[in-house]
Amino acid sequence: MSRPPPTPFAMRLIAASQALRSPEAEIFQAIYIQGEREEGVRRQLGMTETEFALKKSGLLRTLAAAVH
Amino acid sequence: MSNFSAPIECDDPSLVFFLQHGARGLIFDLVFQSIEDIARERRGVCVSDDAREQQCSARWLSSETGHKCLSFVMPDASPREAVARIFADPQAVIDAMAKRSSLPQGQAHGASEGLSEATVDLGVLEQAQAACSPTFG
Repeated sequence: MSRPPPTPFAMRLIAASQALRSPEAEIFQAIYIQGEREEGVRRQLGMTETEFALKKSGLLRTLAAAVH
Repeated sequence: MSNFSAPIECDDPSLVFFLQHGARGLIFDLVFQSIEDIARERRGVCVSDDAREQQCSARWLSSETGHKCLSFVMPDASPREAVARIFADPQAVIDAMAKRSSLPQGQAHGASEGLSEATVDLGVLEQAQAACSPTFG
């Protein structure tokens, strides 16, 4: 049985994330695609909690604008 | 963490994970961050030069997409009433959402983790989609 196609919403979010530059794109992939814990992602990227929060905030604002 | 430069294909297992798990956390985070932006604007706090982006978040919550995402995150609330509550007292809504996800109140960072184990009903996710380009469908 073939799987139903992904929703346009999901594909639009992924396409928007692919247009981002690292490390925002890496944050998106690690947390939402690979299911990694945020703290582990932050440590791998070598960011402080503040830096990570700002990057994630920027990522979410960009995605929110992209799906407008 | 792998490189994200390669595009995700429709039959990629990563996409399946995103649809079943990651999408729920992402939609929660999109809504949560937008409400946080409004709360920060009310407090007169702007980090960097993001005042314009905070206004963008307010507009997004009032859009059709924002309403559908609100319905996904708060299925028991009318989106219009939810937006009204958010604009009336954004911090109270943030505290309620943080409490619901079993995290410290007012903590935006990591807010989705309390929901990350839940799976997504694809029918509900479909309802959360808005006027998206058919190019991606």
